[in-house]
Amino acid sequence: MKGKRFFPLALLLALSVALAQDGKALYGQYCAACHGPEAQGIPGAIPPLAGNPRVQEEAYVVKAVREGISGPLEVGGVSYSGVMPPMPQVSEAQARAIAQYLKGLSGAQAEAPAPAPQVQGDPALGRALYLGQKALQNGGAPCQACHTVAGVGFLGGGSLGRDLTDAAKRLGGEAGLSALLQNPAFPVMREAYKGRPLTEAEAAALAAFLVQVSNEVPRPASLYLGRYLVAGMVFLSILLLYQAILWQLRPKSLAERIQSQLRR
Amino acid sequence: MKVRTHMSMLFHLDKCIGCHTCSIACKNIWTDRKGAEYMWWNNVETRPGAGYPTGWEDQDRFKGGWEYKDGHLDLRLHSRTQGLFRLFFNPALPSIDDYYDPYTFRYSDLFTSPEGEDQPTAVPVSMITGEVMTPASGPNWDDDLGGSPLYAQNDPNLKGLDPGVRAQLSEIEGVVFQYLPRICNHCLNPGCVAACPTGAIYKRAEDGVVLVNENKCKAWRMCVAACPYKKVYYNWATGKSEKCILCFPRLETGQAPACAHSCVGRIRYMGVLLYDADRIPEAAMVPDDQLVESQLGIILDPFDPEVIAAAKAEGIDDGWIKAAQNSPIYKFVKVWRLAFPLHPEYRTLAMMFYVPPLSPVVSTLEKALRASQGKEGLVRLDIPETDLDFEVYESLERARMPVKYLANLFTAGNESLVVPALKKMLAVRILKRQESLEGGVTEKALRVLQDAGLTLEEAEAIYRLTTLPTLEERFVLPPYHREMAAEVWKDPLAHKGETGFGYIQPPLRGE
Ligand code: SF4
Ligand code: SF4
Repeated sequence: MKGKRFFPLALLLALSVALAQDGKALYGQYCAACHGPEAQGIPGAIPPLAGNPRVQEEAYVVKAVREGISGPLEVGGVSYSGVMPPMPQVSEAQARAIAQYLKGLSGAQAEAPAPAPQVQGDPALGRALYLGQKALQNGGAPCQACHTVAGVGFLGGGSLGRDLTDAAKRLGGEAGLSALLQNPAFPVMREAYKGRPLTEAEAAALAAFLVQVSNEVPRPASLYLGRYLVAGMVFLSILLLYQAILWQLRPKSLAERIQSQLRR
Repeated sequence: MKVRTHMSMLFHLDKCIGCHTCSIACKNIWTDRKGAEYMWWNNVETRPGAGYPTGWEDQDRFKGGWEYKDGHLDLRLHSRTQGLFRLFFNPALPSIDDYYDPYTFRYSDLFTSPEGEDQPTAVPVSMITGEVMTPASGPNWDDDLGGSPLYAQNDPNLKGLDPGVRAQLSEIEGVVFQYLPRICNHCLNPGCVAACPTGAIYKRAEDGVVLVNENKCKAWRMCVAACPYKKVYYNWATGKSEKCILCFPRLETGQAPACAHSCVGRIRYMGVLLYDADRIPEAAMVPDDQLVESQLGIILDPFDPEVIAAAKAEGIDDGWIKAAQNSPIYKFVKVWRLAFPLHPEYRTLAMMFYVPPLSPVVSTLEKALRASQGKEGLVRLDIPETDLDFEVYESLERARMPVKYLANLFTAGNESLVVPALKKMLAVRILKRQESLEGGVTEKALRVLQDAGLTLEEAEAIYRLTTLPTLEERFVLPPYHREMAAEVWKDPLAHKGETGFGYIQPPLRGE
């Protein structure tokens, strides 16, 4: 009788442990890249999760994971104003498991350890990597293919990804960027660099470069528009000229020849 | 062997009177619409002449048909990559000036003109812009060698002709021309189908009619350029290409195409041919002078039990096989070897056939006579009228319509194919003329007949089918059994009652 009554309870306990373990693995997969393996965060860039009162609320965590957060935020007296991208690929159950795991952490890990020492990046190398003048070691596409940084490159870069001019300010400075670059949280970027991640040194160099450009006075976006218009016009006139020449060179048809002969 | 059936038309050019009734019948039924004013799915050309569109045979300019080089058969228009780059700019396309600016007359002028000294006239206006214009070209601008001699002189089929013969063609007493009615050839290896980037053109398996799917057509107009006969037209109002449909709605209801039905000269024959679809590529890939032979080679004998069995295995109806056996086209093309496809060197394997015309009089002989007597002006041959034909028979190579010219039109320049056909026709003419005018056949005529390779029965059959055919003999139309096809989606009786009402899908530009 007794055993029978305890059975569901035991099951629940076992389940919650399993969930928490699962939550740890999921945390490692989805969150650790930015928030750190110990959920300690990066001061000033990425808020810590261990000891963060907000993670006590499961619904909040689930929403944050699946829909993302943006805007100013204060944790432990430090204010953050970054963007956390939505991760809809994490299922609701998985998000709940992560929340469960974080809840367990918060009590034990009151004090976050100091952030891991950073590799010092070389902004010049970062620029070369950004422009694709130097290939990424694992074969990833250069950043400029998708992103623009104001003032870099004659026609700017791609417009698929966000403008990176002030990325350093948005995404947690050098430390945040270099962590993010090694394990991008953005779905499109994650796909693009799947199987060809950036090395630590490359990430550090790019982060240094992005910090450097964020401190420069940005050029207006209209500059690129003007350049694009001019380049487009030049291209179009070359095309039209080419067609006009082709048209002139085509063999005259008999109708044209007869008409011109008759007119004479 | 993959047996397929084909509806083919045959044009007996010796009978065409150049009346353009066929063109008008076609225009009234099919192209009397906005955007189609300039189209003549059926047109009749005077030859030598430039045709319509002007100079359509000039493939250096229009790039139609196929090119056979190093064992490859390629569209002359472009390769796939070139085609991609020319999607929006295709210099090989004919312009409206190559056809003509279609015009009508402002008839209201006749009634609204103010009173004056002169008769009011209706001014010509363009049917495209609506503006007053001076017509300077038309679909048969050089009809009966009218307009300017420039048209006839520029006929590409005159190439390879002796300059003396060329000059004689336009002499007052030596002038000669024939008519060439043309429709889409519903080719076995159509350039139009091959060039279409959207796959909107297809050849029906049951009768070989080549059709444009107006719902699929995206107005790339590659077919217009790639058809060597310039028989696909672009409708500028609907943004779709259009072409001769061999009056398939008429065929399906047991009537001959409108052009054939209305033909005043009764030059047109309709019938079924069986062909081997498996051997199309090999038929198109032989040197120029063997093209006619190779094409005729894939036209199958409808009496051969093997062919019949293979046809039945393909699901071909008995009615079609019977029609193929009675086909006048089969007789002219394969049994008597009197008819040829137009310009086989384009290698589209045109499936409409032409019996070349005989020359009217012996002008070259007369000219030779004139020279030998050192006389100016016309000298008639001093022989009885009845012997003239024998003279032509003996010296066909000097006939008024040069054999080389006919060979350039119908056999890719191979005179050895045209001459026997002309000889057979002449032999039959001599024989029947003697029979009906002189009441008896001479030894000489029989010798000529034998020389041409004809028996008396064959000559009689050729004569009957040429001059005295009934409607049923000219048009041997197979049963289409549309009810069987309609049954699949609808009650055939209801379908029959509703046919022809409304648009299923009105053609829309860009769709
Ligand atoms: S003649 Fe007719 S079937 Fe042949 S290529 Fe031209 S349009 Fe196509
Ligand atoms: S209707 Fe017949 S005879 Fe008249 S032009 Fe046409 S094909 Fe020739």
